[in-house]
Amino acid sequence: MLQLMIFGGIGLLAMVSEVLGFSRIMSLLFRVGTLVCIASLFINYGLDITWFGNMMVEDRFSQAFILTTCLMLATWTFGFGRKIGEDEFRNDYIALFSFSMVGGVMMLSYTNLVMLFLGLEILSIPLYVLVGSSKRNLKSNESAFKYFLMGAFASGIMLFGIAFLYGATGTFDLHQMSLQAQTGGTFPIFFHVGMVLLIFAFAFKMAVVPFHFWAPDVYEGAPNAMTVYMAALVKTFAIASAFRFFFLVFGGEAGIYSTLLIGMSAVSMLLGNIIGAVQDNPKRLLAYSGVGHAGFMLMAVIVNGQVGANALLYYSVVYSLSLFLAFFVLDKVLIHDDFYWSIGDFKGLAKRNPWLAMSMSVALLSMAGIPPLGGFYAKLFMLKAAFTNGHYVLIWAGLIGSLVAMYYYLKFIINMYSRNPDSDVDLNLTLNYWDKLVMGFIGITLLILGLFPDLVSALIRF
Amino acid sequence: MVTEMMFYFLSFVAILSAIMMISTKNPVHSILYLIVTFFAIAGHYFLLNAQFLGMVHIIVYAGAIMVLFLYVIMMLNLNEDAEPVKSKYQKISATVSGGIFMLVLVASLRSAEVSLEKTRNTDIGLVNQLGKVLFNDYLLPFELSSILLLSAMIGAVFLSKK
Repeated sequence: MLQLMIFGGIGLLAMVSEVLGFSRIMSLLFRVGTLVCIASLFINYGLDITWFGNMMVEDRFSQAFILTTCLMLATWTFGFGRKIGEDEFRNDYIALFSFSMVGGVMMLSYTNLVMLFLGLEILSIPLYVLVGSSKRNLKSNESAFKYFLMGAFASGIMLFGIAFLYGATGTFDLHQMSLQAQTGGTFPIFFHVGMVLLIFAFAFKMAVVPFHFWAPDVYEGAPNAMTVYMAALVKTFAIASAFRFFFLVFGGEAGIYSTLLIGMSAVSMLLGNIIGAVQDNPKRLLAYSGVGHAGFMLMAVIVNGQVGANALLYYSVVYSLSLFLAFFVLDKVLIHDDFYWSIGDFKGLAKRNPWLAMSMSVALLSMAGIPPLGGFYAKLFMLKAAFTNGHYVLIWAGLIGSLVAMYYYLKFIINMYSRNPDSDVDLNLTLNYWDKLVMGFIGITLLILGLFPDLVSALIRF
Repeated sequence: MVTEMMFYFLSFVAILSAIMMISTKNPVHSILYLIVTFFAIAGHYFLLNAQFLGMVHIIVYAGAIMVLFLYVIMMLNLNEDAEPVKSKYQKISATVSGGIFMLVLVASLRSAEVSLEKTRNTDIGLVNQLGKVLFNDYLLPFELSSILLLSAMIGAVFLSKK
């Protein structure tokens, strides 16, 4: 609740700051607000607080996820905030980001389907604008329009699903729904229709096969800072809210819907990585690998329970950090603005600037799951959870998907280290101390998370 | 008695203007007849004691959506001459398929059982009742929907700035 008020308040202040003349300190206020959120969560951690008669409940799950997403947001501002801070519309950006965080916090702590739907909308509408925020750029406009059209359909499908669920159970409240699920046992057919529609709407936001078609186009067209926000944080919000729904309604299992979810998860791990292997554009490559990672994270929803929650939390943190690092390097290397980016742009990056090549390798190896880095434990926790619950299909799909992913991540790294740069590029990519600090910080955090996974992976205890 | 007469009057107006809407040649007239239909249906809502639904129906449908329609028609510059000429076969097949659809509708409505609970709270559609629910149980979503509207507004302003 406090986080909702802080982010909402910052958004409102950013709107009026231009008129009242404190627009210079707005980005400082945004950072301070994020830090206050983190601090308040540290203080209140472990308390169960119910707001407004079961509209939203702050339990361990929501607190842990809000805490990590706020930390991720702080890291994001640390890395990408400077570029936005120099923009002439920086206060609009701040307002839009704060409002979308409000939506995210709602999606992480809802116990009522009305709050879920409102949260999804509040999260999405600023995102449509942010994706199209480089206004002179045709690709950015195209991707914003695509995302808007598809997202509007996804919202409609979610609303339709919620209406079916309401028709079947007569309530929006998840606790009452779970009481009916535990006592009655049989639901009318509408309930299943509603559930399937709801799962599809979640799958759209997570970019899981077969609802992934928007992801590569939108990731390619959007400005880098927005792409990484969307790929890391929004994916976390969507999967965590799906997890929360299953956890609260079916009491820690995916029930009869696990077949559908297993199919979607396995296919996206395989298909996302196989299509990713033939991509030449680095942003599209990361988008398809993101589809594969979304499939991995969906495993947590299927396994559910405390093990699933912790695995999801750890995976989302590590994936977000790796993505931040990868996109930070991408932002520095792909400086020509014509959208004909390819892996060839990274040829011989180690000779042009060893810092960038090193950071990119760390990010890619972490995503691939190489031991000292965080990605290894992320995948291990997921696979272990799936193994103890006997979902062997998921394990095979996850292993094969990871192997294919390893191929194109290593191809990328070989490109950077053992080729010579093209003759027409600037041989010295210069970085300032701030850039090195950001990259070093994220890289070392990934290493620390890999060495001490318990820092994050034991946060949630129901 | 008065209610019954009102019901028949409103139904007559609604059906007549709906028929006029699809039979008139000029698209602007067609839109105006559609507005009349919407007002007549809103009148039905008021007769059923659903004030809020009636008001929203007028505001959203007769207000916002109709303005949008009129705007599109103005932009496209449609008029009587622009109507495409349809062949006789098209007209016949359209009539037949429309008739079949109506037959299916009537048949399914006849076999459907309509059971109404007699002891229903008839005041449930009043603004008073709705306000109580909205400001007691659903206060938080109500307040937060202001953020949704604000973010849409900021987005529109942001995208239209030079």
